[in-house]
Amino acid sequence: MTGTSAVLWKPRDVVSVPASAITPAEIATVAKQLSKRELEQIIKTYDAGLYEMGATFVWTRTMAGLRRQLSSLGIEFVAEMLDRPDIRPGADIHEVLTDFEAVRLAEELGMFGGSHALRLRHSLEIVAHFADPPDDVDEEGMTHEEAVGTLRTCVQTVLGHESLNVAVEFADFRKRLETEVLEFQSAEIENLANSAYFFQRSVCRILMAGVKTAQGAQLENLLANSNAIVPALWPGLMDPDRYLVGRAYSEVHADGQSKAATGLRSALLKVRGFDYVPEDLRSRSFLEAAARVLEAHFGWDNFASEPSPVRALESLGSSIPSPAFARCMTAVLAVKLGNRYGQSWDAQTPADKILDGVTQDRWKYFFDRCLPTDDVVLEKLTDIDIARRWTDFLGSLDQVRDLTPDDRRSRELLEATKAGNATQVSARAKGLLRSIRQD
Amino acid sequence: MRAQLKTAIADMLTDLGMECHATEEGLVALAVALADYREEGVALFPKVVVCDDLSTVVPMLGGSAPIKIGGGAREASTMSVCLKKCAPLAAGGWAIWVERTKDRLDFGVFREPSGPIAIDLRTSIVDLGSTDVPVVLLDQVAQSTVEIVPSGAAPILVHLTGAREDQQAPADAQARLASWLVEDIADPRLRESCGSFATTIMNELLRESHGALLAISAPDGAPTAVTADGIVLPAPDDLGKLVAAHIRDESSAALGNLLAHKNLLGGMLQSDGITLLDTACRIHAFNCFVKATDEDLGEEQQLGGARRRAYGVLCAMVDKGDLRGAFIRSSDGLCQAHGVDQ
Repeated sequence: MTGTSAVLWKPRDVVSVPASAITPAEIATVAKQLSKRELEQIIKTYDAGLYEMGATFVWTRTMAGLRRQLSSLGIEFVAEMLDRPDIRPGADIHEVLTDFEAVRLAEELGMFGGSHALRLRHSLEIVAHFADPPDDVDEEGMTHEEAVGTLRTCVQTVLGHESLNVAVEFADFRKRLETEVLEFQSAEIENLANSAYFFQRSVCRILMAGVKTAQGAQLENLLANSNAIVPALWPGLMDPDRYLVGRAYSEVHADGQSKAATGLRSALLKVRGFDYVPEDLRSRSFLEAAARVLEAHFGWDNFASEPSPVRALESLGSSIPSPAFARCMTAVLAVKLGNRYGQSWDAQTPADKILDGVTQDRWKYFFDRCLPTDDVVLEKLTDIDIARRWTDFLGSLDQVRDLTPDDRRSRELLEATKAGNATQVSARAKGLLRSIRQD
Repeated sequence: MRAQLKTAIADMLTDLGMECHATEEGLVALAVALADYREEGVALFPKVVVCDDLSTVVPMLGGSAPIKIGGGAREASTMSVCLKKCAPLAAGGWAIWVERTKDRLDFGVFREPSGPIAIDLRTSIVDLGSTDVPVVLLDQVAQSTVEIVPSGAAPILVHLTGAREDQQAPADAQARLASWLVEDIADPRLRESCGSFATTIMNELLRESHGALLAISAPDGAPTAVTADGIVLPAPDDLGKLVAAHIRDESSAALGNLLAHKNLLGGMLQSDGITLLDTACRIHAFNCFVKATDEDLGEEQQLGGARRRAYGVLCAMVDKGDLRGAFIRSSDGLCQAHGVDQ
């Protein structure tokens, strides 16, 4: 990869909130999506020092607006972009999409940039933590700065827009994949293959989502583009995204979609990718269980709600099918790492049991083929306290003691882990995250 | 007859890039054995897939869980051993695989595509291009009739009876029937899924029947000439809706419902008389009888039994535009379809 990466779509501009606007009243006036009555109530709540109540209302309105806009893309598309095969066609986006996923998807679609997505995720943690505080919460509760920061971020990213359209450049690119056939080995495809991993992954997901739902000429264009683009991207695709293509084939085949199956088969034959077609529905049970764990982890009251889905995942057995392995590891590691406010203690024992069953070979596979693009785990490791938890539990794990991943970046991260150097772990995670988005 | 079959198989293997004397002899032996295969007096209908790359072919065909049962030298006799050991296992959703390596033939069973709407093995292999992975499927499609389906080329039909060579291939006639059954489903993706469902269930249900007669009408017009003497359902049984529910819900309840209605159709096909369906994949009536006069029938049909004479009447109704299609499977497994293909 070169330093001049292709940018296929850029994040749209956020709403400008003047630096001079520092009071809730000054910030809230920019929030075009809120009614006058709502604005007055928010300002009153903030002025009265009821920060938890005010911030929770602001957050709820923000997520409702974001979900409403994402629902315009179609639930099948949303499910594919998030690699959530457990979301069924016809599902209600307000019921199945977690706040964390809504923010993540909006960021990927360019509705706002990475910095604002990071701020939104921090706001989510703050709001969720104080909405149902643990026993050891500090007496001060949510601070003025935390509440105002949440308000500012929500206004800049969502509430300040009159209507929050999906970024135009992303929508245009998606439309092109559906209406035009890109030439095989063209400069455009080469450009795509040299773009940041985040774009490559997104393009694969757009294609697979389309293949599973489109018909007629649109389907033919998507299949032709899959046959040109998937082989170009395949060498650089990590296993979770290769399984995404394999699972799409398996699903259209099982649904009797001959045309879509024929097109995807041709793409998979070009890359000899049938190892990535899931064998049966067993992997799906694991994927669904992992999705429940992540849903609880990123939901409100996560410390209390994590144990049950983690126990359910553990009860499926230690032999995790390969197509579901990466997602299960993400879910279990999210529970082990917790968030900035701590961990769910009751969820640790079943999570430990799952990790005890992961063999050395599979840990190596995780470090080589999954972790480099696992933005959930990497994002957590950028926090120094969480990185410390990582070094504490992983550094003492027998299965990784003698492990040497082939992937240089993962190897460096693991070496820092074994040395107990949380600062280095955090720095390596930041480097990996940067490479997903900017290579 | 054997020489003719051997030549056809040799040409097919050459076209596939799988030329090999032992495979040629083995396939001839398999085709002959499959024509009327029995173990302990029980008729068995195993499907056999021969390939060079099992790890690609099984997932490509939507199959799963390959289990090795045995292997031997790359000789025709190994294929016969394979059939003996695997045929009793290859039922209820399992098929036989044979993988060729440099000096050996390994064999075993694998799960066929699961689910009633999945693309069946034959359709997957017929859809393969000539430059894709070479695969051959052998299947008994009617009594004493075996179809050999190579990837990327026309199937070979092997009759080990006195059947006329110009008769329709049972699989082709059933494919026409399946296509008529979904012609008027508006949603193209649902139409395709229902087409796959119809292909799979007709293949299964018709094989189990001792012979069957089907009439296909337009969605709005079940002709009284067919239904007057028959059992008409109070409301059409909409299989298309059940397929849509199965795709939407993916629940065991939706699957169970679909399979239960498939079995109901199987029972109707086992009944005497005509089963009437329409081009929106709905069942209207069964156990229907039509009166046949010699004027309605061609010369050949006048000489046939009751079912063939009734088929003649249905064909005449198709020609008049009262029906969209007529289909017969005789007790010996031979099939004929008459209708207008869109």
